[in-house]
Order: sequence, then structure tokens, then C-alpha cells
Amino acid sequence: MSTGEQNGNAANTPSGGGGIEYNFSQIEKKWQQVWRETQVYKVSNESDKPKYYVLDMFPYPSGAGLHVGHPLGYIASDIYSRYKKLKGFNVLHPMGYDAFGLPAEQYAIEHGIHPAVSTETNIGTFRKQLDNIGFCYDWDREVRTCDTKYYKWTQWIFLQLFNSYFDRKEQKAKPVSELKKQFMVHGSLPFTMNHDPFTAEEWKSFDEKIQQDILMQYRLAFCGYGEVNWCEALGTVLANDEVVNGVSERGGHPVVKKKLRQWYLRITEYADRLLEGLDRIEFSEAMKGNADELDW
Amino acid sequence: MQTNWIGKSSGAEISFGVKAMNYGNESSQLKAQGPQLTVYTTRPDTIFGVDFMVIAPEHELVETITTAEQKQAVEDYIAYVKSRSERERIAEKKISGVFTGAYALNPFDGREIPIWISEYVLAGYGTGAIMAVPCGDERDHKFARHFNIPVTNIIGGYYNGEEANPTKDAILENSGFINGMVMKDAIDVVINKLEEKGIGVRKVNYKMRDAAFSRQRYWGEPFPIVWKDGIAYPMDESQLPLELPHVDSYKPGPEGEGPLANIKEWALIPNSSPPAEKGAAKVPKYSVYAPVQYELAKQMRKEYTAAEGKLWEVVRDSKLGYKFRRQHPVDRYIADFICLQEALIVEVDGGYHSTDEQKLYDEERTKVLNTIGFEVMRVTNEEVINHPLKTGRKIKERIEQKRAESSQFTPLHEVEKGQGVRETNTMPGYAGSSWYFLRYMDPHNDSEFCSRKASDYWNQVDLYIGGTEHAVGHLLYSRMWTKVLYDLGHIGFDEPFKQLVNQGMIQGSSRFVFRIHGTNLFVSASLISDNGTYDGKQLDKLHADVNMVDGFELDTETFKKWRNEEYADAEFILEDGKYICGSEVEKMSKSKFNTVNPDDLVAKYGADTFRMYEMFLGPVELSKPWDTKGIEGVHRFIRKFWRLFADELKGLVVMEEEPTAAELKVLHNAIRRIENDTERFSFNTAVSNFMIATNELTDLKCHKRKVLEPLLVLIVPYAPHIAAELWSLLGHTTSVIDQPYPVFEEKYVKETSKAYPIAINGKTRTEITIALEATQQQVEELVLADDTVKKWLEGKAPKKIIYVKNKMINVVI
Repeated sequence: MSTGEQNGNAANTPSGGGGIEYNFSQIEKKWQQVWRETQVYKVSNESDKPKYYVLDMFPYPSGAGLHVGHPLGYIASDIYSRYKKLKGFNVLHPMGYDAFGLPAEQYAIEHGIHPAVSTETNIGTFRKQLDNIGFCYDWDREVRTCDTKYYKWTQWIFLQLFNSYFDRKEQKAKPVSELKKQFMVHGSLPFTMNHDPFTAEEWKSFDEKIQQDILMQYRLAFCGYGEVNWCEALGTVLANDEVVNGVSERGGHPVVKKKLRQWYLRITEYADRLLEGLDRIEFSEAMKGNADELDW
Repeated sequence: MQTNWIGKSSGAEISFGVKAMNYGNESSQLKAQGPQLTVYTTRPDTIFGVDFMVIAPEHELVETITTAEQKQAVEDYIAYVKSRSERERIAEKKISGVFTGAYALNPFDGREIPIWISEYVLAGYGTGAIMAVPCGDERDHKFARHFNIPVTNIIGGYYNGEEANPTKDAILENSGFINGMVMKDAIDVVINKLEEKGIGVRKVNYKMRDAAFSRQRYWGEPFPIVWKDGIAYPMDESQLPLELPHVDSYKPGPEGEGPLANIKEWALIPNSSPPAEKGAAKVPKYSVYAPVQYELAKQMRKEYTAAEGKLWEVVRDSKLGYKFRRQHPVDRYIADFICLQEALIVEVDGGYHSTDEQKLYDEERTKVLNTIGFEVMRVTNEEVINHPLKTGRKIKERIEQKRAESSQFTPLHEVEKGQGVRETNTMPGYAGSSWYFLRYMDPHNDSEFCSRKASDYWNQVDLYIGGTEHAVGHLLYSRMWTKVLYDLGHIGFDEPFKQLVNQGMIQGSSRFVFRIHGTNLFVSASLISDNGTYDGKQLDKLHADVNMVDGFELDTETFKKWRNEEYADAEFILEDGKYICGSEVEKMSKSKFNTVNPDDLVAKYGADTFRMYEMFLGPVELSKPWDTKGIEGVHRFIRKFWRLFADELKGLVVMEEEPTAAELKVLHNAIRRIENDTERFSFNTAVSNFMIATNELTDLKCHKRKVLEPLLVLIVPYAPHIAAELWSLLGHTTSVIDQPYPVFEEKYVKETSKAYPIAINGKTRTEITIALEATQQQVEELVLADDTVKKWLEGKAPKKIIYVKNKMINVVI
């Protein structure tokens, strides 16, 4: 099969008297290879053209691979991305994998294959299937959430959340160091979380544990105690629907309520800003509004 | 969905005093001393209709206010509630609850209001207490009825005695200072009065709760947090990433902790001062009796016995994988061999150890060493000299056994003071997806999550396509993270996505076969009677794999081989020689055998056909059923498109002549419609328009380059491969995928004629296509020659023919 040609040489087998057949398999493989080798879909951050960013929700690389329902959204965004490019935009159209999460761990428990390994395999399959359909992703920008080079920054952002609090007066996040300064100079804020008000003197007299406990009530990522269903016999935490009449659905073992250390995001502080922002974006009305309820 | 999830409501917090027994009957006091019960309500206007209070069984006041008589009933109920999950409590239709014996006092008129506990009020939401108004709230009404609590009617005729009415329009009765007011007007009045008297405050409440952000699992991002003495310390940014360690087992940790809690080497951090040997934290604490022991020990190391020498060769230099020392002073003794980290002492015994005296001494010594925290293992000279390696293995196994036994993770509170312990939870799946749209902008940056330059350039996502299942969670979290990063100055925008489009789902089109119950005989669908039987017999309706069905016709041979020949003995009652399947539209799933693999379709028809077909199924946002037959139509269209350019027999058929007006009209109509459709996301109608254009050009026998090249560029987004191939066949060396989009020109599509509705006396009877330049006379001629018009005229001449150019024609008779 001919390689990397862009000028006039058809990959098709001429049939008899110089005819040119529509041999889609050959044509498509040929051009997928050309595009890959010439990196036509690679996009730069420096361009005079106006930008346009088209994003697909990235998939969880499950073992089942694609079925016809998945590509629907991908094809639509691919069409639009290619269209915008023809219209003279510098189009960012990336793809990656949402690779951390329970399914890979379940698979590992059942089949003894480490999640990192099964994930790698599944990504390989997914990629082949996607390439088969001729998408114009800039694969140079691929991300995988389980990659250390990626989650280094997920952890970094967590630290930003941990080290910040929400200033209700200014309605924005600020470093916790500023809150500490406030406490040292003015004592507790006009609104207090779940602690007694204190003066600046009192703050300075608190030992570190007390100070940190108070600060934890303001941090945007904080640690608290959540109620969970603990089953000693099974040795696991159970979800609410795995518990029936106080015993585990599986095996009927006793289940007790336990306070387990849990981390949380203090998203409630952003409630008003999240509401207000809806007016500035184009989600469908159903998305934005008071339609049906969804469980958390 | 987002607004509903956030659930913002405005109302008031109201403090009710609680009539406590030891404060006597002070109903004249409007502001009670003693415990206060605070509730949140969106209907302060109903304050005079409060007939009882309900508080969560876990509420902190329950113990204080419950009377002696009610104590047992309350305790029993609380025990029951402990076994219930939140979801069960909220969903429960059955009414349950217990009276506490205590009364709250209405803040305005001091009326005594019984306080109940019930599981449907949760401690974690709002204040954990509500004021119940049975005439206005159906749940409260049912509760009152169930427990025979008298109902106060504050809404006059709006309450019929049977059902509660949540109206805001009633005029208030039995309502003290707000009597005679319309309810909705009274809300603010009451709130103002509450604030004036200091017994309540205007408040905004949210249904939304803080998002749980940890999992007790393995496969997730570790938290960059170290716990020390009960305080969570953030790691320094320079220490990132904190890598997920490799594990062999995913067993949960002890007490519900995650699997990372089982890996002590990862989770425990040695005390940072003084610098310690790896694993130093595990060493039992001991002291040495007298400094002279060090001298003694040194000497004994020099004068070792043969057996000791042999064993030393086996254990020295961590050969067993564990660090051993020899002749080491511990308390008043000197251990032959010791592994400090694993708290194991190995003593080599010569013959003299079997004397009674020595045995006693050894026992005493072992007791002391055990108390300090060391295990003492004894091996004989003979063992060591004759089987040194076996002895070494025995020692190693003992250590490993000890380790397995003590695999309890040291709970945080038992860890030594100053000892660091890593957080063993991992982040939930949505952590990575809350910011990935930023990383794409600058994916190789090692010093930042995304440079300001990159995020300033790419800014918001212009178009985000995904399913509705992410409506709440993912979208809320990513919007929150974006706002935090914006607030802290790391990016320049606070909304990540400008526009979101939800694609619909593709539903499966299932196929069914019908087997006569108890037999192997399958009946073709159309032979089945309306009541679902065949020949009076019951039928089993079974899913058949859609890949074995052509349209509705079953490939019976393949069916017999299916699922390990489960139906090998099947026989068929056919119709016209065919077995016809039943069909239904259902969710696409493996268990319904109605999934279709894109790889198969691409192999059979090509990716371009597959792409255009998926779009052709219907508008992007609608859910639609899959139909494998339809793809053949799209494939035929693509082949027809190909033949405008090249032929299987003649090769390239493209001509260089100038296009005709008709041909240009087809082209520019196509440009206009397809550009419009693509811009508006109406890809299904775009595909139709490609088909129309192809048909029209085929009919016109048009193979002209000047028409076909722009058409090729139009189809690039939809069928990029065929576009690229044809582009190169046309002699181009450039890439077709970044050509400029064809420009629509109005002049080529001006209509030259119009299909006029022809009315007779104002009523449209037929349609005639007439050139736009037609004169009155030409129009009259054409109209009168028309058969339908002639019929209506019945031989008579019309009074008048009204002709409005490009609009209508009316024949008046």
C-alpha cells in the first residue's frame, strides 16, 4: 500500500480499463495514516487566527469499548471542529481518558489484573476504535487522569482548595493566611462557623490543634466526619441501598452507623455564584432549571 | 437541574423557647429563658398555625427536654432510627414519631406547642427542627391526623378539613397581629417583627450540601496530606506528585479505611527528628542497663561460637531482607541476634540451655524482653550448624508471619506523638474531570497546571458536547473549581463552558423470536394472533441478536449456532419462506442483544458512511432508535457522490468546462443550506441536503470541477476521507482539511420561477409554476389552459384574474 502521498496517486486498484473504484477501506486507512504522519491536526497555542475550543466529555476507558451510542457526540463535535477550521479558526479539539475510578478497581479484584495494566489495554482499544472513525483530535494533547504527570496538578489544585477559604463579604476565595491574619488582629469574623466567637487575644492563646480545627471549618477542601454504614463482618463501608433493616443485603450481617473521616468540598459557599453564572452561559433550559431532581 | 439542585430559598429562622419543667409556667413571657429551638421556614406567615414541632431524633436538645414519662418511648424510637439510612428515612411513607413530653412556646402569643421527634426530619439539614402547620402542609396534616393532634385553621375557607392547602393567597384568621392580611403579604411583616424582637432573622437556605470528596478505595489520586497529632498538614507543592504506590491486594484497610492503610511503608512517615533509620518507629523502647554492656558485647562479637558464626553468615548484611545485629545490649541482657525493626531476638542455644537452672534464667530473661516488646525465638547449635540456610528461612518466615498478624494499621490516635501518617483516602472519580479542560490547553507544562498565556488564549470552552447524566455533578464541580482558580488569580475567566449541547441517546432496536412454549418450534411474528398466541398456544418471547437479523428477517442457520448452539434443534414456521422477527425500541444493552459494534459497521460500509449515517438518524439532541437498514441508503448516496468524480470503468470523469446556471444554482443552494445546517448543528438535514445536491447534479450529468471542488470542501467535516481522496485525485497537493470554506453567492440562486397557488374565488385549488418575469397576459394564458381551472370555470369566462407577482393568483368567477 502506498504511503504518505498527497499528490494524485490513488490508493485504489484500477479495474481493467483505468477505472477508479471507491475502495473505502483502503482510502480511509491511507488517509488516517497520512494525517497521523503529517500531524495535520496538531494545533498551536500561537496563532493569528481567532480561536475556537470544542470539547467532548472524555470517556472512562472501560473494557467494553465503544458501542454505536458513544460516537454520536464525538461525530457531531468532529463535524463542527472541522467546519470551524474551514471557516478560518484555530480549533482546539482534544481528547483524553478519565481513567481513575471504581470500575478498574473492581475489574482488578475480580481478574487479578492491576488497574494500571487493564486501563492501558483498554485505552489502546478505545484509541484504535476512535482512529477508525477518522476524528480530528490533536492527540499530542492527550491527558490521562491516572498519569502522575497529570494528577500532580490535580493534587496541586487540591492544595489550593485546602489552603483557601471563602470570604463572604468579597464573595470570593482567598488564601487561608489572610484569614489567620484576621483572627490574629480582629478575632473571629462577624459570621462564625460551628465554633464560639473569639477575640484576637483568645486566638493567640489557642494551641495549634484548636487553631487548626477552627481553620478547618473555613477551608474550601476540608475534613469532617460523615456517617457511613460499616459492616464489620464484610469489612467494608456499604452504600445506603446495600443495607436493609439494619443488616447487610449480602449475607444479613449487622451494620452500624459509623463516623468515618471524609473529605469534602465546601461548594455551598459558592451557591450564589453558581446560580448567578447560569445567566451568563448557554446551557439548555432543562440543564439550568427546575426540572427533575437527581441524586447526589 | 442545576438551579433545582442548588435549591435556594428565602425565609426566616425563628427561635422558639422551650417550656422547661424547672422554669415553671411562664407563658406570659414571650421570650423564654432556657433552651431555644430554632427552625428554618419559608412560610413565616403561618406562624399562628403551628400546632406541633418536629425535631430530628439526633437533635442535641432531645435528651435535655424529654420528660421522664416519655424517656423510654423516645429511647426506643432513637434506637430504631439508628438502623435507618437517610434515604430510607426520607422515602418512608409510613408515619412514625414519638412525643417528647416537652412544649415549645409560640414566640408571639406564647401558645404551648408539643414537640415530637420523627425520622423524616434529618439532623444534617437546616436546623434539624421544623415547625409543623397541618392546615397548610400535607405531610404535617397526615402526621397530625395520625397522632390526633388538633389542627388550627388559619386559612378559613381554603382549608376543607380533609386536606392541607399550601396556598399563599388566603386571608389569615386566628393569626394575632397579622389577622386579615393576605398570606403572601404577611411574610415580610412577620420577618420584620421577628428581627425587631430579636427572636428570628431573615435567612436564605440552600438544599445543596457540601460535596463528599473522599473514597476508601485504591484506584484514585492520593491526598497530599500528612496527619500529625490529629492535625492535617498539607504537603509542600515541591513534593508533588505523591504517587499512588503499587499494591498486590485491594482489601479494605481496618475500620473502614481504604486499601492504602494496609501499606505501612507508604502510610507511615518516620519521625523527622532525630533522623531515624528506616522503620525506626516500630522499634520497641528499651534502655541499656549499664555502659559496661557495650564493652561486653564488643568482646562477645569477637569471641563468637561456631554456631553463632554460622548464623551470622546467614543473617548479616540484611541477607534475609531484614537488618540483623549481633550481640546487642537490651536492658540488662545481651541478645545473640536481634532485628530491631521487626522486634525479634534470636538466641542460639548450646547444650547447657537444657539444664533446669538455665531454663529458669532463660524464662525470666524472655519475660523481661517480651515486656519490653521483643519476641524471643530460640534455635539450637545443631540446627544452625547442620542446616544454616533452613534456619535462616525459619527466621524469615517467623518475621513474615509476625508482620501478617500485625497488619492492623495503627489507628491515627495510637500512632506515636509526632509521627506522620499519610491520608489513606483517595480522591473521587470527579477530581480529574473537574479541570481537564484546562490541562488540554498546556498539556506538557511541568511547572504549572496551565500557563496563564495558554489559558488567556484559549479561554472558555466554546462548545461542550456530552450526555445529560453529567448535568449536576461534573458540571457543578468543574464550575466551582474554575471559580476558585479564577478567584486566586490563576486563570482569567470564571465560567469554564460557554455553551453545552447534550446529545441524545441511540436506543436499541431489538429483535424477538417467538417460541411455542414447551417446544423448539419458532413462529414467524406476523403469524401470531392479536392476543399473542399461535394456534391457541402460549409463546415465549426471546431476544435474538440483532446482528443475525437482516431488517426483520432472521438468519435461521446462524441462529441455530448462536450461544453455543443453544437453539440447535430449533424449527421454524416460516412465512413466504422467511422467519420474520418482532421488534421493539429499547435501551441499547448487551443483555438485550441489540448492541451494534461500530468496528463492524466501519468494516462493512466505511467510516464516512458510518459518520454520515449516525448524523442522518436525527437531530443531535434527540434520542433515536438505531436502524441498521438505513445505513445502506447512506452508503448508496456516498457511492453516487463518488461517481460524480470517478467511475469504476472510466476513471476520473471531471471536466474543466464552465458550469451552467442550473449547475451553479444547485451548488450555491447546497452551500447556503449546508452551511446554515452545519452552523446550527442540524447535521441530519445537512446530510439530506448533500443527497439532494448529489441527485440534482447526477440528473444534470454535471462533472465540472468548478462545481465539484467546492462541494468537496463542504463535505470535509462529514466525510473527510473521501474528500481527501477525491481532492488528491483532482490533482491537488494541498490538504483539503484546511481549505477556505466556499462562499455563498446570492446571485446564483435567485429563483426564476415560482409555484403559484392558484385560487378560484379566494380558495386555493391548484398550483402552477410560472416564470417570475411573466406578464399579466402570459399568466392569464397559462392559468386558463390549466385543467383544474377549466373544471371550475365550467366553460364560462372569468370576471377577472388577479396576478400579484411572486405572490398569488386569484381567478374571480
